[in-house]
This record gives sequence, structure tokens and C-alpha cells, in this order.
Amino acid sequence: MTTDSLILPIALPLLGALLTTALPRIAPLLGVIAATLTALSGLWLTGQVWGGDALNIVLGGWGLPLGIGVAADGLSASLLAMSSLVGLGISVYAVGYFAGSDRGLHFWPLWLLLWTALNGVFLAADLFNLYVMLELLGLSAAALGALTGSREAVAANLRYLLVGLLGSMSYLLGVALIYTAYGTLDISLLSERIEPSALAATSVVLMTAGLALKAALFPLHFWLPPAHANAPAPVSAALSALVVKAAFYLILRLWTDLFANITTTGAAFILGALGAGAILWGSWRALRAERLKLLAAYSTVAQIGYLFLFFPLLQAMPPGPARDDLFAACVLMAVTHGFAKAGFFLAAGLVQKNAGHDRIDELGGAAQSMPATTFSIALAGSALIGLPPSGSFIAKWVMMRGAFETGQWWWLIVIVTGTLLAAAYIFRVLSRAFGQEPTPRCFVTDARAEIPALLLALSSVALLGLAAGPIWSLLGFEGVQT
Amino acid sequence: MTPWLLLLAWVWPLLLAWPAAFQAGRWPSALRGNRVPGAGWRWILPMLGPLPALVAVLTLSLGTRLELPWLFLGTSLELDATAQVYLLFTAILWLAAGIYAAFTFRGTPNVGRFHAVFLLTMAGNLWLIVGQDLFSFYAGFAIMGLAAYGLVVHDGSPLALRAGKVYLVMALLGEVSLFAALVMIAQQTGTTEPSAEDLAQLTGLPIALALVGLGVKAGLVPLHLWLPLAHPAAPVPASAVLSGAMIKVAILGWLRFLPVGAIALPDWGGLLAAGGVLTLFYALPIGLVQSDPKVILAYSSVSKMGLLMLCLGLVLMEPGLAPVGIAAISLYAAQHGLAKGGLFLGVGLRKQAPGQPGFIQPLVLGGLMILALALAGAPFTSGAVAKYQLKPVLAGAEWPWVAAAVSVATLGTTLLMARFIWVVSLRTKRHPQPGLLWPGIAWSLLLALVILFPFALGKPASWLSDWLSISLGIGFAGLIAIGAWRNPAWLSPVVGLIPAGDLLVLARPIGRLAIGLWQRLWRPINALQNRMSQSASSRFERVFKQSDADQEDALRRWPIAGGLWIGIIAMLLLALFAQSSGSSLSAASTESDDQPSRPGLEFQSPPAPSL
Amino acid sequence: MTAAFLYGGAGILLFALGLWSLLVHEPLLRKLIALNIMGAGVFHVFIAVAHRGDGTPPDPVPHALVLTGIVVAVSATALALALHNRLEQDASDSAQSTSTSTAGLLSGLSISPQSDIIRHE
Repeated sequence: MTTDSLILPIALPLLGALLTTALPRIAPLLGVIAATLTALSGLWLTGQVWGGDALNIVLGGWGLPLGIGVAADGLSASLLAMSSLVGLGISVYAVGYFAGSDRGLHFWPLWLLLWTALNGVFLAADLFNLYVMLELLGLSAAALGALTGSREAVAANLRYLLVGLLGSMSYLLGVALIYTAYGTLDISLLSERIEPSALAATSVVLMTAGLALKAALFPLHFWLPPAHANAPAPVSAALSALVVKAAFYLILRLWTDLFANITTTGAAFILGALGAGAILWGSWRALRAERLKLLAAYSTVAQIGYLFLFFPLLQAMPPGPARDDLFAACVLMAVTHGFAKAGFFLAAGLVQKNAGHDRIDELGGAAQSMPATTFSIALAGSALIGLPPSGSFIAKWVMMRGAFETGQWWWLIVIVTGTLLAAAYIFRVLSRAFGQEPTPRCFVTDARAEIPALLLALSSVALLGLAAGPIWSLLGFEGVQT
Repeated sequence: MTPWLLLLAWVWPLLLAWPAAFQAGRWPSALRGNRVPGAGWRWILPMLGPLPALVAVLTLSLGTRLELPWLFLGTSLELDATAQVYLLFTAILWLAAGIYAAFTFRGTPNVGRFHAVFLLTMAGNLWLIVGQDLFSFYAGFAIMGLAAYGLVVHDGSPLALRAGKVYLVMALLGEVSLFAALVMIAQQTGTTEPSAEDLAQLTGLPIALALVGLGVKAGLVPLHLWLPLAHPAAPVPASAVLSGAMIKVAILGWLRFLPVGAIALPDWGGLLAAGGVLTLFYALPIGLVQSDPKVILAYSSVSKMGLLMLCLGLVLMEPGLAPVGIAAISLYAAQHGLAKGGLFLGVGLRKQAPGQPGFIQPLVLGGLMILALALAGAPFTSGAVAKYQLKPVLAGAEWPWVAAAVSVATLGTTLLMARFIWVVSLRTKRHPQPGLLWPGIAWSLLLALVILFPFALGKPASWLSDWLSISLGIGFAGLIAIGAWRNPAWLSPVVGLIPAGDLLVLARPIGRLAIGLWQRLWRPINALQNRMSQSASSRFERVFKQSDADQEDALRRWPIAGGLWIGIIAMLLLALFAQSSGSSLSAASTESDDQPSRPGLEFQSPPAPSL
Repeated sequence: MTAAFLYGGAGILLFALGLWSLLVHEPLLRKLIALNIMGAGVFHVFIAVAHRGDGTPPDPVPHALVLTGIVVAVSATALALALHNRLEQDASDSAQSTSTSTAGLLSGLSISPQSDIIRHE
């Protein structure tokens, strides 16, 4: 039973996608039911991993390597829990957002398909299934992003699709080289077999580079801001909070698990340097952005940069509790950003819907007429800045300590500058909320849409910050060394 | 009582912020300009916020401790001697300000926002006092500092927004420096709850960062710029806690995270003391030429913080002074906090309390006068007692002239307070509004506390300290007042000579100058760059028929993006091949001895290059 | 041995050619064909791996992978064409309604998307 539950987070949304396609009339209802079940199964699976050990199963009645392997360990369970909760929030929000519009018809199947692929990436146990899931993720994400049908959205997402395909091809070539050398694609088998060799090194580079395109690592982020900023709000939230995390998850998996004895400090430094570039450039562009959703998209670029900053630290840190802390902090950062950015985009979508536009300089009245939404933006923003008590505060704390301990103090300057820039762009938005326009009589004006945004933002600050311990125990670590 | 009160002390206002945010203010236009008291019960929340903290400090014994290993990455709360003093005066002040905020904001537009931000700020302030570890301090500090932005800009006027911007920029700089300092402290001492002995091994960088980071909050010149701008912009209860409680936490932070008493730090101590002297004297003349009573009070706060920084610096230079010094500094902070909070609330009452019945305004003025005397340190006031406690620090210092300098500063403070009384009694525009009965009563109780302070805490010998400089100051002030009364135009050229925010006014021309210089120096390069970017953009437009407003357009072109991608691949390959696998990262697995068993053996993996 | 090596090498060469074409040529159709050629290159490598010497049956796993990969590539191409079709329609619509130049549109992928604000209905 425990191992069977492994396929539920993949099978349930897939079933939902089929049903919503077949019965478009009741698609929102079916969609929410499928989303709830998916989220529950994901959380249940996370609970299983928490209670016991890593799980794995082979589907299809074939043994490895032909069967489809599914596995869950602490890392995948953490991200699965994120995708479950964030996905549920997005689904509930989408019901209200798409109410009375026929775009919802296309939204539900595609969104559930995207969720299938996302959970598939987190749970797949071999490199080729990962490719299939990544490709499915890219296709459904591009299709969802183009949902508004506007020229900008379609062009941006066509670019996203091509970039994603290029990334997948590069990844697939890396997979082919791995198979050439080792004759298996199972991650756990490979991690035992891989030895330093030119072929392995080439394949890790090809896979990393392909995934870096999908993860929008600076300067390969060029496709992200237009694609994310022009999509409908729930889609932007899913793309920014979840989809880029899938590619990042895979890079983390490859570098710390599969190719751990191939990667070098020099290569990790390159990833860190690109991450630093992402932080500075993304934050700067976010500060200069004229539109709220564009700001959020560039903020994603910057936040992805923080995640890549962990690589040189992880590489330099000898195994032990301090390295475990860094690893857990990296996961915490990714998860916190997932919640915060989803909350931010959902709230931004409400502002846009209410005001008819999202030009930051003209948002004064809209911000004040929706206190709950503004509050969500403030909460999510404080998690993006890394203010206490958010999860990213703890992550940054561990990250800065790791930078000192490994003697890489220069990252500190990047982190501090990025934090200041983030504070600047968040407060640039928030200062619009302090005008003299009247506030409505009630705090929540549109509960179905505002509550999910608020809850997601709140979790990024309160849930993940005040009790970060569960991430540590989920990953099987002792607890943070202070 | 249970130690959980220490947790409740700051979690309670944090929780109250939520329902407080939900209260809806009535918008005057809907009611034809008549503001009626807000319905419901939520408007009382600001008063309830500080109650658990007050109960905690009154009932818990010294040294009560609560460990919370699950919170953050493990925190601990404790009521040590310094925390006790701080918690007491902070809670009293927040209570008085909370009563004022509850009654005066009741039913106003945006009341929910103000009350929620007020409670959040309160929670941060109380948290950092009871928290003993770096996390709690920083978390409380950051919540307090950033939520206070909402207090400063609540008004929404351009003036308030400008003050808020200055406040925010400086607060963030301070917070980031403090964050870096605290990370370094944790890393260098190996603990998040360092004792003074642990802190003795700190290097210079964290100390410098801590001095700068908290110096912003303390108003250390020239980091004080936000103070005289934020205080007049913020509503009355917010200014009261800002000046009375919040800027004092800088001293608390230094007491906690600098090696006070463990080791002599002649350099850093001397620097802080010198900065304190500068702050002490710098703010006085600028304050004297102000005409807004709240700005005068703000400059007085800056000056008084200078005195505290001076004393702390002296203690850092001479660790032997620490036991006396720490107690004296906390006591002085408490005294000044209560008096200054009272003064700000009194200014509010002076402006907003009704003129009828006729005895109210004279009573307010009388109270303000007592508080001003207490602030100046006149005999038989709290100020005299607190000053008396500081005497051993000043006398025991390595700098012999310090005591004399402080006496001169006392004279200056007396003049400043006289100026304040002058402005507040003669030059105040009054906007009476209803609902100030309870705030008035709360203010009277605060006043009573300040009056009783010397008799409860000080020895009779301390009641008369510094009477000479005070009386000199009052004499001077009297002479100037008579002169000004006779010839009102006499002082007008001086008043308003330096606007609030002093150095910031200089900043603009200096900034222009710097930009001008920069442009002149870099003109050739600029010109070249302009020409290049122009030609590039015109070519770009010719090809794509669109503007180059978007800086990333170039990046989005396939050959460029693809070239970058291939470049990254090449760099990664180089990095992997150039470095032998010696320094590999061994995360998950030790290398297995098994030779890979492969179904297809056509491709032999080449051996790893050994470089 | 050599045959498989040649086959695999040809696959890598195809990949590189496809990549070059994808980056250099602007029209979408050429980009799509280039991507498919890159895919074909990777499939070549897989097929080369499957070869286990004369006389022994080939390894079935890479064949299965290639089949799956082809399905994925077809659907990706289809989606890209659908999106492109949408853009073309848009372009012809706007060319009819207004007389703006379609030069920017035909180079579809370098449109600056931030130039306009999207309004939700």
C-alpha cells in the first residue's frame, strides 16, 4: 500500500486531465476534486517518507531497466509537498479566476497535465522517464502560458517552447551518453556506478546546460519574463513557483547525488557565478519593471539565482552536519519561493483584474481597495526579501554562514546586495498602498480568490519560517547546527 | 507565573494584528465629514497588545527562562536584568501609546491598517527584548523596523512618503549590516546565544557592522538623518514609541552582542564614544532653530542617544565600569523613554485635546513642562536621578573632559527644552477632536510615573545632581525668552535656518555636484558609449522596426542567447576537465568497486584526463 | 564496433548541425526542422548503443526509448506549429485591420512582448 501510493500523485491528476477533457461542462468541479485528491495523495506520500525511509516501485510489470521506476526520498517529498499545497491553492483560485470565461475549458486539462508532469519529475527514478516528464511539463506549460491568446503571450510562449525543446534535446543527448557508458538509466544504480570519465563529464554538462535553460539561469533567463508576465495569473503562479523548480530540482539531484564524484569546484563556481549574475540582474530589472507581473517574473530570475548560489558552497563543504544544513537550506529556499511567488502572482492577478492593468505607478487606488490582496503581496514580498520569520531568512542565514565557513566571503556581497534590491522593489510596490483613498468596509472582498493567495503567502512566512525543522527531518538530517 | 508569558508577551500582539487588520474604518465623505466612533470591538486591540508583556515583567522573577527549540532553528527567551528594565518601560510606553492610538484612530479611514502595523511593530519590539539569541533579536528588530515604515507613512502625504523613503532606505541598510554582523558573530563564537566572554574573540568586522547596523536605529550622526524626518511625519502615538522605545533597542543590541565588560576595546569603544559626543552636540544647535515641536523632540532624542552612546563607548574602553555602567545605561534609557514618550503624547494632546473646559490646556502645558524638566535633568526629576547614576561612568572614564562636556550638553538640553515649551505653548495650531479623555488619563498616569520615578528609585543625594547647569540653562532661556517677547523679529533669521533632516538637504547639491563631476570626467567615455548604443539601436530598429526600450531584446535573439548557452557549456566542460577529480564531492555514495556491467559494450569510456 | 561508432558519431554531427541551424535561422519552420534534426541525432546515438555486435540481438531498451522520444517530438512539433499558426492568423488579422508593417511579426520570435500592456477582459 505504501509503495502503491507512490503512483497516485501522478495518476490522479492525469485521470483528472482526461475527465476534464471529456466532460468540459463540469470541468471546474472535476478539476477541484482532482486537485484536492492529488494534493492529499502528495501530502500523504510526504508523510510516508517522513515516517519511514525512501520509497520506490517499478511499474508496468517489467523489471528495471524497462519498467518505469518511481521513487521518493526526502528531497522529492519536500518538493512534492510544495507542489501539492501550491497546486491546490492555484486550483481553488482558478475556479474564481476563470469563472464565466471559456478559457477555463482549456485551462483545466492542461493544468492537471502540467501537475502530472511536475509530480512525475519529482518522483521519476530513471533519467529517461525524467526526460518524458520534462518534455510533457514543457509542452503543457507553454500551452498554458499562451492561454490568453494575445500576440505577446503566444510569441513569448512559442519562444519558451523552443527553448524548452532545445534544453530537452541537450538533456536527452546527455542521457544517451550516460546509457552508452553505463548501460542503465536508473538513478540509484547509476549513482553507484558513475566514475570520473570524459563521457560522464560531457553528459553532466549537457544535461546541466539543458536544464539550466529550462530553469532560466542567468543569462539563459531571456524567455522567462515575457512568458511568465503575459500568462493568466494562475498560470504565471504555476510557471514561476513550480515549473522552474522542476528543472532546478533535477540539477540539484544530478550534482549532489548522481554525479557527486564528477563535479568540481570550478564547475560549481561557474554555476554560483551565474546565480550571482541572476540575483543582481534579476533584482535590478525587477526594480526597474513597470508592471507588477513583470516585476514578479524578474524576481523569479533573481530567486533562482539564490538557489544556484548553493552549489559552490555545497561543493566546498566537507560532508557532515554543516553540509546537511546547506542542503536543507537550499531545499527550504526553493520551497519558500514556491509558496511566496505563487501567492505573489495570484495576488498580482487580482490587482490586475481589479484595476484593469498592472502598471505599478498607477496602482494606488486598487491596492487600497483590496486590503487582503495587498497584505498577501506584503507577506509574499517579505519572504522574497528574506525577512524573518520567513523560510528564506533561515536559508539565507545558513547560506551566509556557509559562505564564511568555506571562505567564499564574496557571495556575501551578492546576497546582501540582492536582499537590498529585493527590499527596494517590494517596498516600491507596497508604498502604493499607503495613500489616502478609503479602504472598503471588509478586509476580504473576493474570498474564493483572495484566500488562496493569502494562505500561500502566509505559509511562506509563518509556516516555513517558524517551523523549518520538518524540512530537516524530511531530508533525514539531524537538525540545524546553530 | 509561567515562563510562557515570555512567549505570549510578543506573540499576543502578533496575533492581535490579524483581527485588527480586519476592522473597517468609516470614510468621512460617506458620512458628510462627521467621524463617528467605529463600530465593533476591534478598535480596542492596540491597548490590549502590551498587556501580557506588562504582566510578564511585573510577575516573573528575574532570570525566568523559556527554551523554544522548535521555533526557528531553536530560540530561547529570558528575562535578564537588562531585559527586565527594557521590557518594563517599553510595555508601559506601548500601553500609553496604544490607548492613544485606539481612541484617536477609532473609526478613522484606514484604521485597520494603522492598528495592524502598530501591533506588528509592538510585537517586534517586545520580541527582541525577551529573545536572548541572535535569531530572536534580529527577527524582532526586522519586524519592528519594517512595520514601523507603515507607521511613518500612514498619513500618505508627500511629506510622509518622503520621510518613509528615507526611513526605509536607512533602516534597510542598518538591517542588512546587522544581519551580516550577526551571522559573523554566530560563526565566530559558534553559538547563537553568545556570552560576553564568547564575544571577546570577535574580529573587527562584525563589531564595525554591528555599530553601523544599530547606529542607524540609535541615530548616531551621520546615520540619524531619518529621525527628524520620521517623527513629525508619523502620527502622535507612533512618534512616541518610535522615540521612546524603538530607538533604545540599539543600545540593547550593543549590550547583548558587543563584548561589554569582558575585554577592553579601546579603539571601537573610543570610536563609539567619539561618535556619541558628536551626536550629543551636533543635534542641539540644529534642534534649537526648529519650529515644529515634534522635530525639536526628535533632535533632543538624537542628542540623548548620543549621551548613551558616549557612556557605552566609555564602558567598552574600560571594562571595569561595566557592572555599574550597564545598569546606569538601562536606567537612563528607561527614564528617557518614559519622558520622551510622554512629551510626544503631550504634544498630541496639546494639538488635539479640546479647549473646554478651560483647565485642560493649562494642565497639558504644565505636564509638558514637568516632562521637559525631567528630560533636561532638573533637580527632583527622573532625569536628575538617571544622570546621577551615570556619574561614575563619566568620572571613571579615560577622558577627563567628558564630565565637563556632558554638563555643557545639559545646559544645551535645557535651552532646547525651553525652546520646545515656547513653541508648544505659543506656536501650536490646534485641531480639537473628541475622544481624548482616556488618552489624557493614560498620559497623566505616565506623567505620574515620571514624577514618582526619582522618589521610588533614587537616593536623596541624586535628586539634586547637575543643578548648576540646569539653572544656568533656565536663566539663559529666560533671558532669550524675554528678548524674544519684547522684539519678536529678533530671532526670526535663525529659526528655520536648518531644515529638519539637516544633512539630507546638503545631500542634494552634493549629489548634483558629484553627478556633474562624474559626467565631466567620463564625458569621452560617455560620448563613445552613447554613440555606440545609438548606432546599435538604430541598426536594431532598422532590422526589427521596433524600439529598443527593452534592455533584454538583444539577449532574446537566438544567435546571442545560443552563443551564451554554448559558452556556458564550454566553460563547464573546461572546469570539469581542467580540474582532476581529486576534490570531488562525496555526498551520497562512496565509489563502488564494481565495474559497470553494460549490455552494450561498444563505447569504452575513455579514462579520466589527468591534469 | 566501427559501424556503431560511425553511426553514433553521425548522430552527434546531426545534433550539432541542427543546433547551428536552430540558432542561426530565423523562420520558425526552419527552427522546428532543426530541432527535429537534433532529435534525430540523439536517436542515432541511442540506436548505435543498442547494437551489441553482429549475431547478438540488439538491446531493446534504447529502441523503446527512441520510440517514446519520437512520440514526444511529434507532439512538441505539433504544439509549436499550432502556436505559430495562431501568430500568423493574428498577423494577418492586424495587417487587414491596420496597415502596420508585418515585418516584425514574421520574425515572430523577436517580438518585444513588454511593449504593450495586456488587459484582461
